[in-house]
Amino acid sequence: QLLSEPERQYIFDSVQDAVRIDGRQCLAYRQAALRLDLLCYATASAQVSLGETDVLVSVREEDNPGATAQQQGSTGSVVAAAQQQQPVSHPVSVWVDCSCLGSGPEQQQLADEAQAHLSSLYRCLRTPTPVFVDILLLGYDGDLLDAASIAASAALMRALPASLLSAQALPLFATVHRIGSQQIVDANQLEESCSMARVTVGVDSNGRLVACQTCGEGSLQFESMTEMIETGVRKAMMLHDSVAKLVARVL
Amino acid sequence: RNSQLPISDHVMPLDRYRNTALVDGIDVRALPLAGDSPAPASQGKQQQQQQQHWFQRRLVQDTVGSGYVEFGDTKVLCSVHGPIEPKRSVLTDAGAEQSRAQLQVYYKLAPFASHQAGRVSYLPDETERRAASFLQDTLAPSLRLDRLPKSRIELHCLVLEDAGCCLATAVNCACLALVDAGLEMYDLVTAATVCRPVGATDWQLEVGDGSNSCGSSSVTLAYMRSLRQVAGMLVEAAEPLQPRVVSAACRICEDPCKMTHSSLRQFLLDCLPADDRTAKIA
Repeated sequence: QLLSEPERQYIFDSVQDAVRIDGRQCLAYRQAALRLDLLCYATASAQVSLGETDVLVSVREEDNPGATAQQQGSTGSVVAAAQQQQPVSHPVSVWVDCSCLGSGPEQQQLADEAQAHLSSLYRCLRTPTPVFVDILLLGYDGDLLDAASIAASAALMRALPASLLSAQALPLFATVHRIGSQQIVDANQLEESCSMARVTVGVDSNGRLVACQTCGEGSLQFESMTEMIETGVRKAMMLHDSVAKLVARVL
Repeated sequence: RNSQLPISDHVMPLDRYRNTALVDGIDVRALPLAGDSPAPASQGKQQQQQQQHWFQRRLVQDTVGSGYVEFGDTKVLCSVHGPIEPKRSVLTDAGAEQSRAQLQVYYKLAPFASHQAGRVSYLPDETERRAASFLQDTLAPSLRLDRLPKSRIELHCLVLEDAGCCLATAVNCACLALVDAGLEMYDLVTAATVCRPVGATDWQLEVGDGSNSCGSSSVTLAYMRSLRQVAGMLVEAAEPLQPRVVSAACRICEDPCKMTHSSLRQFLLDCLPADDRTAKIA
């Protein structure tokens, strides 16, 4: 999205006065919708729309781990059969597809970044059978990571058995941007192009960090970075409450 | 063409034997063999060496600038190409998008680089793409890209050996290569990594001795000392961490970053008289 310099200055100045271009508060999220169980062939699926950002997630569990081993070319010997008896823990495998937006390098970079972030979010999650999380971006207006993490965590909560989930609470992302001296959350695409730096925190439902990274071509002071992390944790806890209520209502 | 590369004397004279392949004019027969075990008296010194950096510049002849950094056993080589013609995409217009140089970072582990993962493939995988975007976000705040409109700067980062803390070493090496290329920067960007095994309480500086395990949380901080600003921060958590623990770990990273900044700055200042000498000959 191309912005002229006066437009950029307008967005910057109004955010300094705590006014965003769509009239929201600085730390307010857009109207979000969550739909579950849309796809027949997936173990679980979820769609989140956060403003114009639309993300569809499908979670598939491989039913037969032995079948996967055969596809990988192992022989049907006694040793292989004995190995299948042992419980194996698999990491969650994440794939992000931005092809609906176009096939240019910017879209590919968006997809790569989102994939790296979401893989790190679910790094601590281990499942007995291989689980594949496929994220399809249907529309983009900023704040991809938050929307994708809500959809993926909601779908994983539906797909995985409760015994696995009670020990590990599924984390969510919260992205905090810094424009001038103000912090904003849930930036749309125009605000993202004006932001100097952002901090993305992955927070589990107990308020602890599982991932944290700064991005963007600006630098931050230590105190600003710490404040942004704290804001991100607060906002992620708020998101956890909302998502838990929504998922409980559907169930 | 016989170029005398300057060897900086302020770090570990004992380490020179490892770099002979890269430096002209040293007799390899006079060097200790790799299998020689160090004398017991020098064990402590070796530990101290592990925490110091070895810098070298102008290693790659055909580039504008290059840098080579060793930190313990971790070895990283960076080369800079640019300013060169910018990449034109459909969305680029002639106005605001071209007013700054584009910085493009390519990061790759050599196939033989990794101790744990065995042979690394030729194509960049997810970790390497993530490291490249981290390097780009970290170096961009310090580079004066607005001084080079309508151009592109390419930075190629090759990790020759990864024995721990290779992302922080790559940041240091990239900064050295950019300075060697003569690109204007606001400040040197230096980085350090601290790590903590699962269940432990203390954060330790990660050094290049291959001792970090996959099951530990790490915090990498890239810091600009003179500006007192954080250029980048990356947390890889093996267990959920309290936010104040993460902030405390970032603060712990500040001192190693400052020390690396001083030694890099001193190395660059020591290189200056040699530059003047070759300029007069040319």
